[in-house]
Amino acid sequence: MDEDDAALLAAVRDGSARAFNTLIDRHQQAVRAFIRRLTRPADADDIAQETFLAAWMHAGSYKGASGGARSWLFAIAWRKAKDDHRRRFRLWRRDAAYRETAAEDDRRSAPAEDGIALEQALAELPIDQRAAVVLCLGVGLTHEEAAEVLGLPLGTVKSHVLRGRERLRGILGEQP
Amino acid sequence: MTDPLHKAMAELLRKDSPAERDPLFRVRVLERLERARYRRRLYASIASAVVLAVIAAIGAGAGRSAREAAGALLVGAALVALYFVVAPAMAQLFVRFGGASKKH
Repeated sequence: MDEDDAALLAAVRDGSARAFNTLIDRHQQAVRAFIRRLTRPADADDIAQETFLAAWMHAGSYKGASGGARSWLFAIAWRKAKDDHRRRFRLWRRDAAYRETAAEDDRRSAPAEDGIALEQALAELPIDQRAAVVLCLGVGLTHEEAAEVLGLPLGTVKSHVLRGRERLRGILGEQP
Repeated sequence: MTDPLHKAMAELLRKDSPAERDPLFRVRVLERLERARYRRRLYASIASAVVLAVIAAIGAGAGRSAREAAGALLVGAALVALYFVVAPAMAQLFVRFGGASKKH
């Protein structure tokens, strides 16, 4: 898988549209699922599309990642989601009308099934902690791989996951 | 995966994750790519037009004859065209040789 992805990214770097299509087909599901946990559903696909666009433009910079191309794509997606988060936060502070719309969107997009408590609990975590929790507990990356994706020190990621897990358990009413 | 929180997280990610195959998403990425290429070509054209206008203005401002100004304009146009033809090819070569040297 890792070998295949490296070859695929080399072909993308050389301008192969077929390789780019394969890259999208292979990883879109994981990348979109990751971004959906970090941002509003309405913005998630936009960020995912920008992620693959950046992958096309910067395929030459892929030097291999411990989690393969998927981790590399997660890293691009993470930077874009964080930029989006900062931009929305600035708007949120500046524009009360936007704040109300965003809150309304969030309410509308909240799932109505049993995952709602966890979804809401996740949304209450700071974005760095949320990303670390999603990558390690949800996607199943190792702490080392998550640290590489998020560009954070290993100790910080471990601490984020530990604190995130405790907070989620607290919010969900479980005993640690 | 025995931890209930791990299980719940994995289920949450799976539950509303997109379809494994989504051609529409791929089409949207490709549309975005085409728009980005178009923008890049547009900016390149605008930059070329600005360079040519500057060259023409310098030629006219230097008090040269119309023939000399036209000559300068032609040289400028050739240089700009050369840049846009050669630069991408050079970049491609650089990437290939750079990639090849890293493999060895």
